[in-house]
Amino acid sequence: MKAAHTGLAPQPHDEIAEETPLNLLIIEDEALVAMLVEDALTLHGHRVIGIADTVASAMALADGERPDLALCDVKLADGDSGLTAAQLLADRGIPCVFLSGNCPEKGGHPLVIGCIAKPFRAGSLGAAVRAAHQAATGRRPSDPPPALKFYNEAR
Amino acid sequence: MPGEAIGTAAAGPADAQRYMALVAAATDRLMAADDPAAMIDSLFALIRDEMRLDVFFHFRRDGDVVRLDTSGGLTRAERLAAAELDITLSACGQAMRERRVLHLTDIQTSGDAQTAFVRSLGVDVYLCMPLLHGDEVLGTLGFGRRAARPFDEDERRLLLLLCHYAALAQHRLRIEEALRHGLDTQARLLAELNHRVRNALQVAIGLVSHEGREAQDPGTRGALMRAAERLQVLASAHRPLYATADPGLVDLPALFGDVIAQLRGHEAALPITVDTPVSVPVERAVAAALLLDALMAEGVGTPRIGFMVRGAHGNETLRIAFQAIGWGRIVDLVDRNRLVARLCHQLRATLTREGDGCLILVMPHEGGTYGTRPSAP
Repeated sequence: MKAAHTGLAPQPHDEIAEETPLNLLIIEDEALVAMLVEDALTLHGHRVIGIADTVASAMALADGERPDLALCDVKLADGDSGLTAAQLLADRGIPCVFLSGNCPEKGGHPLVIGCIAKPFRAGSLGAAVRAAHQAATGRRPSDPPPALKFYNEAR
Repeated sequence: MPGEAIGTAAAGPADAQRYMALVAAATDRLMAADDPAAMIDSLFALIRDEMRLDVFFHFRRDGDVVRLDTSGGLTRAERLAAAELDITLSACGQAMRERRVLHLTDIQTSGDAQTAFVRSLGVDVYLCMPLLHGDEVLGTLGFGRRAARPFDEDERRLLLLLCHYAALAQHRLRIEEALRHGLDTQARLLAELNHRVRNALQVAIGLVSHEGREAQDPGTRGALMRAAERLQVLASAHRPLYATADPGLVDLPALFGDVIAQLRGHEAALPITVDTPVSVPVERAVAAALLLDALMAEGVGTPRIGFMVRGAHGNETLRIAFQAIGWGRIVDLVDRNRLVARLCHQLRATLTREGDGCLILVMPHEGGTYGTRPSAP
């Protein structure tokens, strides 16, 4: 099956292939969504260091693997909040992008970069994480996909 | 204002007893009422003779509009004239504006413009009280006498007390109406949401199935038809969601029955047993149904399924036993199938076996939190 059938295929502004792959943490409690995100990011050349579905498991992975960026759902398993996870990650210097059907209005921390609204096109995730990482490292995001909403909070 | 603050002799013990009985009866009627107009009518009927009332008016305020809601002691023509009255120019308008009781006497000999209408009805004494709830003016109650003496202090106190009760009752009815309206809106939104979720899932199933039928390559066709099956499982979990009082819960044994019927075509007499009704939140129901779908895809026979809830309140586990030849052997699926592993992780579930013919799935149930509800008949 071609990737185009699944929506995983990169589109014109989806990915900048020549850049270094990023180490990414996925924080998502829905198994199918987590797998979809993992597949899409891997297909775009990034490395997924782990999938967490609670704040504690996310912090354990973040402390052990030091990801470049985390993608975080707002509603997590066991009643945990993605807002808490994002805040704790940002406090550790790890930038975070929400991946949610109900995007928060604000990030609450300069390293909470933005939000990708569900449902999202899996093919745009590669470009979204790249743009978010560029923003987090003080660079101007190159061709961010429309699905990524930046919070642009002052540092 | 002529005749205001008229002092009269205090009521005797007999009057006090009658008034207490009136208050008790009026409270019963006001609290049991389910219609604002009928409630005030009923109040007037109760006190009319005792208070020697000839006419009464209830003006009700809805936002900026004040209208005659109900009245008593009037002819049809008088009632129509009262309904046309510009309340702002009347005594009741003044009572509402100033939020105070007006006791007007000697009306027949007065030339006051704001009593012109009640004067035309032959009323000589008129008591007009605002219906207040907190800071809000709900309307007014007006009571008129044609020939009797002015209202004495106890009569005014009694009518004021009943007016407070009426305002409370009216406020209660308005809150109930708003609540009913809110529930109706919620039901309509839920129905719309239900329609959209089902429709979107059905469209997705149709799209994937269409691509599957069109695909030339058998591998591609198989994969797409498998994806359509899984979407169907998702749709099954959402189908009963909005039809119950617990819109977030799904009857898991019934859902498993649906999934098996879809996959194997067993429409009747599905071998599923439960020791207690088992309802789970939709997210867990979807994950469990997809897990069942993945297990069934291993090609082993249709199992007898037994649901058992175990453990103390607040710490329950759900034990699901799948019994059929070969089911024990697929316990290693969790190690070789990524989807099964992720679904088990999401459910916090473990898979074990009891011989070749029995696979056991155990997961937290949180029945204490989610409760149980009877299975659909």
